[in-house]
Amino acid sequence: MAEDLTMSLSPDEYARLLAEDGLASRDAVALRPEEQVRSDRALRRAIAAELVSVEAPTIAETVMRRLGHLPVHVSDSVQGEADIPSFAAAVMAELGTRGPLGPQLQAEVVAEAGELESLWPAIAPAVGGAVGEQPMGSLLKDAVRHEASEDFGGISWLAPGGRWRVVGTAAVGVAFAAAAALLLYMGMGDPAAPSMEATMAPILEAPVDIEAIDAGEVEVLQFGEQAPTIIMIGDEASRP
Amino acid sequence: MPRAEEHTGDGGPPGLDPDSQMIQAVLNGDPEAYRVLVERYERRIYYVVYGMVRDPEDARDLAQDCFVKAFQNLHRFRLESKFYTWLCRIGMNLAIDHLRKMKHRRHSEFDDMRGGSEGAQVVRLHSKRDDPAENVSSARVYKTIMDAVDTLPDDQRQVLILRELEDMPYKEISEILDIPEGTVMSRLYYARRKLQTLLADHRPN
Repeated sequence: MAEDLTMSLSPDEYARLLAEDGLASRDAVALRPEEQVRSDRALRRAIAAELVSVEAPTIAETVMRRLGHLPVHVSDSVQGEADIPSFAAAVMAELGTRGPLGPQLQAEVVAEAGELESLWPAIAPAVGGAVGEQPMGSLLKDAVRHEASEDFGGISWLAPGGRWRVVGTAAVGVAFAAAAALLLYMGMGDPAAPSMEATMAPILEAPVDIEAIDAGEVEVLQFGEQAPTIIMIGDEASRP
Repeated sequence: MPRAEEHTGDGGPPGLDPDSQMIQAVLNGDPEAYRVLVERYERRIYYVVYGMVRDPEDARDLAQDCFVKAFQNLHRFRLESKFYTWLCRIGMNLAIDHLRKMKHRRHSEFDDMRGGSEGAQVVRLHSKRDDPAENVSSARVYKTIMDAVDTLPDDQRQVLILRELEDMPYKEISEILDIPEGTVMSRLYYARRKLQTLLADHRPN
């Protein structure tokens, strides 16, 4: 093995390194002090054993969920009162598939808000929910009503053929201001439901600056740093 | 959508190793193929990161971050390279960033407390002379070993972990850490000698 200029080992140190790594010839090892070789190798074994002394968790499922590649639709995740990770993954998956800007938007949401799964505990109190004590679906519905006042009362939730809207609201503080929360609102495809304009009016008329990112079927509305961020997408599964 | 177990990596373009075939499949629009790569390397990456941060929860999060980041940058991966080497580099960088943040946080807390001694950061190695009975426990010896590993500079610890954990060749370590092979060898040598000095009373049989 050739040495390079950055190697600062003496010939003896180099020989010792190769011996303890099992890379030296038998003759070369025989020239080393026996006790040294034995203890050097014992130390290696002890370190290697300690490095794997904890049980490695299985992370593939979580990784795939974080990447938004679980086949769960937004509508399914709410209708089934899915857990928060599944819901967040479904929303992110939808974002990621929406046109050429979808993946970009997905990345932006993560960059702004962090992972939605871990973000939710900070969001829930801001929308009047208690993590772990309230079903996801009802929490979302209550939160949207809270955002949009009593006018939301006539909306038909989870109607067949309806179009899903994912709506976000700001979490506590500026840090989570942009794309902080994802809430679900549906009713656009239901003839009995109020129009989108009417139902969204209480939010859209808020006296704030609106920064809109139009990504085809995905829309993101930012109502200022402390105000709600709204992300709206169509959900393939609930289209007529 | 194909299930993960249906991906074997054997049916991709000829000339590519199984990992590269999976990567090619992901890039061609089959993200589920990535699950195969995650399952193939999750344990190894976890142990590499755990060796650096020494906290099981942090290691799990960082291992996940590693795979997520790799996925997001998969289009930059050169198929002729070894995927695990590339993955390891990402994992090591994340671990180093994490350690820096933790050190910064600890220093801030230390400043806030305005207490403690100058030697608060030094890991104290128990001596046989301190408590002979306790030192007969192999678990205790192992903990002592890792406490000693924790005292190594990050650059020496990186080399040591990659070498001891997987018997990884010097050349591959040099590629992961982007340092010359000779530097790998000298860091490894000095790390071990330092450990032996620290563990003089605890050398395992």
